[in-house]
Amino acid sequence: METLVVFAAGIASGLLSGVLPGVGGFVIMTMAYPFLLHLDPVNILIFYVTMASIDQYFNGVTAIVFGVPGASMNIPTQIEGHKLFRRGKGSDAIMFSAMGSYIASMFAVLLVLSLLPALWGIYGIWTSLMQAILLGTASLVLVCVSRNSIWISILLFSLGALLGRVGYHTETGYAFMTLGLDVLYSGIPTMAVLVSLFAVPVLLKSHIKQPGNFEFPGVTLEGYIHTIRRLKTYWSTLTRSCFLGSLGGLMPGMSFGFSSLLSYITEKFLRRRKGIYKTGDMHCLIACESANNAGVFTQLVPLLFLGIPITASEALIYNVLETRGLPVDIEWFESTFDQILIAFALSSIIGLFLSAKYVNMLKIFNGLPIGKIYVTIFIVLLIALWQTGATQYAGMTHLWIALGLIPLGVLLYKQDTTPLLFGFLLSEPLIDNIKRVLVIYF
Amino acid sequence: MLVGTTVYAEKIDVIKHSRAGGLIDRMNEVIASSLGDRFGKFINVANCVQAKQILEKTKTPVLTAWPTEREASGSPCNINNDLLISTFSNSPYHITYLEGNEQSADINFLKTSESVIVGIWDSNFWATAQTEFLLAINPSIKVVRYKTKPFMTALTSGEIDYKLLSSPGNNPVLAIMDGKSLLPEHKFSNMGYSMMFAGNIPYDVEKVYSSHAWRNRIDTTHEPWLQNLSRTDKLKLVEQMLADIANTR
Repeated sequence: METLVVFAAGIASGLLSGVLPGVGGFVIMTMAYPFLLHLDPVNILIFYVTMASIDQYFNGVTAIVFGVPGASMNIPTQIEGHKLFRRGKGSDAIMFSAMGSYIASMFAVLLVLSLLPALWGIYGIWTSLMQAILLGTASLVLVCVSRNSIWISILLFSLGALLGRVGYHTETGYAFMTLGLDVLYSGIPTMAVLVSLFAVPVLLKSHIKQPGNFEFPGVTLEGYIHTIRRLKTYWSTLTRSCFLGSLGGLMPGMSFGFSSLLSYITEKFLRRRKGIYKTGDMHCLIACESANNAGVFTQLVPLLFLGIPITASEALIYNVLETRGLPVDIEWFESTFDQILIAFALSSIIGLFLSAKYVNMLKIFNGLPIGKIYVTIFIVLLIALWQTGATQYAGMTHLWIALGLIPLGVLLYKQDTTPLLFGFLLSEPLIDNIKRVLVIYF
Repeated sequence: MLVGTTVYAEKIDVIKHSRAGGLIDRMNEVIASSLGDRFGKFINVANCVQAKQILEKTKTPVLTAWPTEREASGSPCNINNDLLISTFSNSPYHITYLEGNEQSADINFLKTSESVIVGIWDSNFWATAQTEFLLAINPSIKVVRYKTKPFMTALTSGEIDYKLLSSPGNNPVLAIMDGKSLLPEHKFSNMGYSMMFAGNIPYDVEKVYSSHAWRNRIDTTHEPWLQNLSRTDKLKLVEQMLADIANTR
């Protein structure tokens, strides 16, 4: 009975974190902390898996329909999906994303099942060298495939890296560009950069280039069936993203965010090489959305099979189990695998259909001026930003930092700010891995 | 008498200034629980600079667990000695290896091999002293610094032979830097990850140690630090340690 209630709570939480931008998995886990303390230990894992799985379906919808990436992993979805939406292909974008996500989820489950005997050695290949190569390649390709000129992209990536360095660093003992403001000692929050330097320029540009009204025909069961029939056109994209997404999920500290990016830039690179890429590309959308979901499952592998939490949410689960004096050894985690697998598979099916119900509700916005919807979204983003910050005891701080960055976002509205955002996110782990590689191998 | 009763009943707040669910956060939870009815509320701030300001300015009684490295010279979170009530907890560094790694399980490999790689936490403050200690054991040791998350998978990736941790978890422990093994004569042989007990009121740290919350803490490798010494002696020893570490740079 408790498992059923927890499963339902996981679905509701996933819905909440998916629909509300910025309210990601870690925020939900932090809010649910007191509730988790009283659950059966297996149910804690079931709650997390269900929430993360459902979250991916709804996050994608929010990015496609409203042009708002709920988290950094949804940036590619926003870039390709919202463009499709504004072209009147929103229904297709949502159905292909949902189907791709579902297939990738099942793929990840089957992959993990088939690799069970080899999972112990999975981190044998995940060295600093391998991580540096992957992160370096991802950064390079990202800069090359941006629609800016290469120099602008390099400049934006560097600016992102610079912003990512702001704060006090325990590894050097020095504060960087904190300008004497104590609010900057913890660094610039990701959500503030996401809102001010990505969402603001994107929404502004979309509104200026294509004003008009919100138009969304919704999705139907027939539409889903038709989508399944048309999926064979995207077979190679799906296969690639399932593998890359599963691989990206294993990256410590980045997990399925890296899944999405890795798969997206690979697809964009291939499409551009063929000379057939144009923003609003269905292949690229399917690539990032399906990779996300594959990564959501594979990110659990280190926790379930090595007893190592690689994301903040997993570390919190580990902490809850430890606080309660429960056995947090590998044998215990492994024994939960069957139940986790069932919960994940079931939640994927529910996510697929529940997201369709949700998107059809969005038809109530039809006819409203898109400008007004964007302003509302911006206000919701600021509230979400405050809420996210509040879980780290810094709601107002995050809000002030975001407001301080908005003029820069407005200034950059003609540019593709993706390199800036990923410079912010990737530069630190990249430099970190390179430094380690130099010590280990030279 | 009435005034005395009022003072006794005054609530004490606890400042939280670090990552939710992390070690320092957990220690602050322990302090709050140990206060029992006297616990007021948690004051949540984004970082130690903001916590420092509260410690220095607030009129309401506050307590908090305060990592020792923040008292290093030049740290923006360095607080006045008046606010350091006592030393608090310390957990010695454990040299751990991956279960099943027979080569690493042999202490002679650590001491004599020319190709040993040890991973440590990427902290400017602790890393220099740890590196000096490790090189004193074996000058051929390569010391690699890791940030928190990649540190978790460092041993399993096989790129390092040992990992230096204050809370070893389930990893097998080869040796402990507790002054009894490895290099007892080395100035950093007794070094661990330590915390101070900070606040703006006089409060006996022994009350925390004798509480139910302390007995049930999950960070069991963290023991009372420099217990039974006077406050002056405690602070003197901490200053000496900070100076020793600063001089290794």
